Amino acid sequence: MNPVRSLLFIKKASVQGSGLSSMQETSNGVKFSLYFILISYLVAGAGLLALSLTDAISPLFIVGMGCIVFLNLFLNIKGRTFSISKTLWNIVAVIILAASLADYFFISPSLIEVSTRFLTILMIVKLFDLKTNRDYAVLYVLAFFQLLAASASTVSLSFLFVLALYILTGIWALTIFNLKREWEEKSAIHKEIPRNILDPFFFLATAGLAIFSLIITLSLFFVIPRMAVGFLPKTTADIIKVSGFSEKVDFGELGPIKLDPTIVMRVGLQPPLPPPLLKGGLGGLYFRGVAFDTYNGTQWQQTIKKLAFLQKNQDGVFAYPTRYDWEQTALSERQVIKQVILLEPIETNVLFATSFGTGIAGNFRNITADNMGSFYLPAPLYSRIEYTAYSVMQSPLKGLQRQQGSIKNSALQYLQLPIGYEEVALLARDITISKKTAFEKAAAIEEYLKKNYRYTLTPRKSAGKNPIEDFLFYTKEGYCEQYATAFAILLRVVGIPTRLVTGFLPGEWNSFGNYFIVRQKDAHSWVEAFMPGFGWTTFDPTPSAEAAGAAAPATSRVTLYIDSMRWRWNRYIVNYSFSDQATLARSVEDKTRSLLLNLKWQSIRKGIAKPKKETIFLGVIVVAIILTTVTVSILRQEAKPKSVKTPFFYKALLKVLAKKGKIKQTQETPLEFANAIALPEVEAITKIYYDVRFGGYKLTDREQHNILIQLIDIKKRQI
Amino acid sequence: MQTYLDDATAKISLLQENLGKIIKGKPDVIKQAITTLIANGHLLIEDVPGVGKTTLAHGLARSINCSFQRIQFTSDLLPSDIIGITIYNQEKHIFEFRPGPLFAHIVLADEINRTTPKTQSSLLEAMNDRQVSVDKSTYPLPKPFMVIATQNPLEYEGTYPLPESQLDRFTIRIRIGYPEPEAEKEILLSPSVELQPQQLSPVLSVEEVLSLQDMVDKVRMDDDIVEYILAIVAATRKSEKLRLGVSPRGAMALYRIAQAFALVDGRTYCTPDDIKQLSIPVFSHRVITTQGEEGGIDDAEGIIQDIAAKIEVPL
Repeated sequence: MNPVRSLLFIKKASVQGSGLSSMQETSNGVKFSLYFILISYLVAGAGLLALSLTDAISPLFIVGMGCIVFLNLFLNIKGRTFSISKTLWNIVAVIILAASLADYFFISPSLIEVSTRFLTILMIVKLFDLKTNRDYAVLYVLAFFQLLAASASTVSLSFLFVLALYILTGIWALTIFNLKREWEEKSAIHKEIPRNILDPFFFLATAGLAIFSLIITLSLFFVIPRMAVGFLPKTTADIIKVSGFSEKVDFGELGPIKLDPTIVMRVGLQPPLPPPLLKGGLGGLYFRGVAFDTYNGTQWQQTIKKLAFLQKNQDGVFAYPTRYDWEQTALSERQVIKQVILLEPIETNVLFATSFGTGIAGNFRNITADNMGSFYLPAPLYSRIEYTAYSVMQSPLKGLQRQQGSIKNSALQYLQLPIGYEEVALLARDITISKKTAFEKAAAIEEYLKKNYRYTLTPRKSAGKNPIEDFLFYTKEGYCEQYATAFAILLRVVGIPTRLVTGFLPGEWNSFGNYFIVRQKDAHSWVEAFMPGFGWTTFDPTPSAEAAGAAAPATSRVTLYIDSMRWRWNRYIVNYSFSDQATLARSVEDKTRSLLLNLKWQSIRKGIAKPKKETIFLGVIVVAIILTTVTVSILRQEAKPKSVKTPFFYKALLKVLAKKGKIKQTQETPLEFANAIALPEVEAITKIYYDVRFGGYKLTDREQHNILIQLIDIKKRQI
Repeated sequence: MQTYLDDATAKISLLQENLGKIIKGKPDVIKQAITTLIANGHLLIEDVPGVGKTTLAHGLARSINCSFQRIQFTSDLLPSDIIGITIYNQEKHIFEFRPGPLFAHIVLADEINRTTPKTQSSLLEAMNDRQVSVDKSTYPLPKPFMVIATQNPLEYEGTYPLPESQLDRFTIRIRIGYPEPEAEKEILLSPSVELQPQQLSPVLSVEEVLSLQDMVDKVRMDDDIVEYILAIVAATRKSEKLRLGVSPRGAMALYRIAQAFALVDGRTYCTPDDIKQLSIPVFSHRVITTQGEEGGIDDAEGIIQDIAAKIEVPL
């Protein structure tokens, strides 16, 4: 460029620049810094939100802090910032630290609680002092620590969303932060980033980045080897009061909870069962808790209960010993059902398993079992746990009616009767007068109860001698407890050993996660009767199992879906352990092996060892894609350090020219390229580029400004 | 930085102006000759007779206030005719070394390929180590020391091709070429005005030349440009068209020449363009093409140019 020309150029540029750039600066400046502030506050908000998930600090505190954050954000946007001197800031930080230490030693014993409070207050103070880039960096770090503290003290599913929010806003914030800093370093005139940087594409692309890093994190989480116990600590959740699982049950105790929708447990099944079985009822699933042998007229008790520690077998399962009488149980088909059960803390040490449980596996030191087929933890449960129960299904009793046999001695203990049940005995004899076998008698009584009595959760009171006579002769209405107790007594009268069992019906099937949601209202009681020559058999005299839950409206699909997410979160994140990892690895191995076997088998069957053409084609494409991606990324990595030194304005020039179809060949020197284009502006920029790139020259603001103007000029030109 | 550049540019333009008085229409050739001088190198000028080879060498020597010797290389020239000879001093009764014409700041070796390889090789030590060993004594040569050799193209009668080791010691080989028609017309029309090299007045002192050579060291060479040089050198060694690639001495020569050229061009740093352009005069005489000498100078230059044109330029 000749001197005259360049002079003119500068003049034109400065005239244009003064008007245009100042206008752009105001509109873009506000936009950019607004984005920056908003996103920085979002990051801080994600940190606070994460803390709010923990029980460490009171909701009131969080709300208060949230209000301060909003107020602060408002002031910040309005441009009114408080300035705190560095000394003051340091003093405040020390005071907060001292207060927190005092808090720790004298008031609150939990370190996490104190540290979360400390972090929050520190962050709030920092929010009032956001001036330099360093302040913002400190803010991000504080938010990160808040997230860390929260992760250590919550297992809530919501944490996943907060984490996702933090990663997304964090990536936004750090990108914009970096842009801002770099731009400020490079250019003194254009303090603000041009408008087009923060377009929707920017946010979409960085969101993609966030999702990508989430995926990577999750895959690392699943792949990295871990200890035998789930990694995330299990802390106390809300403890649910559940009745019916202690050593005795008062009659009528189950009634009030039959309306309570609180979730007690979630049960996943392996293998998946055919749909009819999912409904419950006879031949269906009963999540069995405790059995009772003695009825004294007002309550059921366990009087013959004997506890024994279970041995862990080579698969890590605490197996129910065969010497107990579950082997007398009516099991014709030995189909083993594996249940993965996520049990809420219900203040009992009973472990549930569908009838009839054969073993329990989980992170337990020991498990006890009683002689009535129930499993117990050494101590009541105060936190959510996950365990696996193994059960053998009882097949429906077909063709067993004629079976005869004697009652085993051990079963005779289950014939106890309270005094004063003569009328009940008469009724039982009336019902079973024409029946011969135990099963026929039981079936007749069951049918009688189902037909003649009305199911209600609010039975009337009556003047009978005892609750059972009330139910059988006067009110003729009741719920499972009345039905089951009456049934048990009626059977005992005719010489059939029975025991009352409390537990849960399957409840609601969640097809999103393929598991049962079992609630308080699914609590149920039923009867196991001893069939001679066959063993203990489940009977449910309550009219309709569905009737138990019929009153409640069906759960919406959205709720079910959210609950399935919660199930997965607990199942695969919170309780993710080494055994799960092993299972994952094994299933991958099995699938590959079966795939290979399948392929081999197919080729043998076809007589020709030739896979399908399409398969080969597909395989080749996949391999090619992988190889290209890897190569390109390696090449990129190699090429990157070289271009780092290239000044941004020359890159911009090349971009502008490339858009006009002028692409610089790699073996072409910049000057050759400029000569080929023969534009004075291009030549001038190239020469400045040489000065900067190879001569170590630092551009002045004015020069930088001129280059930008020239670039814009070139952009407008026809070449 | 800027001051040393201004200083250097002023001195170099003085030299350019001075040489321009006797060499018309060949600014590039003058530039290359000055580059070689301040790069502390040796210059080989190859062309047909009558294009001003000797005039250029002579003019350069005369422009500097320094000692100058011209040696006309003939087939019967002996090494001692160049280096010097030890003779018996009858007065002092001792053997005395009498320095030959080589002991000068600028030595013009005219028609160097007319003499035998034996005599040609006597320049080896002088050019590389800037010293001369005779019998058991070593004598340093003056600083700066520059050999400007001229030679006729190889296909001419009565020539001995220079051995590779000798060629490698010339930093740069240039050709002058026929003048442009207009410049030639000017030469013809103004014979009376034309100066003879002998009549040129010196414009620089020896010290000034030495300080220029020091400045060359300060010229900035980016790491990526060094990589670029090495890439070109490596490519010459791998090329199928070349039997002998460029030696490490050749790479060093290009490095140094590029620095000097940048200074002559008024810059304090080297650019990829310097390397790309200079690789041809610096490298082409150092390589041997697979077809031997049949293809001649054009062939080697073309090959080097092709090679340099395929190397990725640092951005």
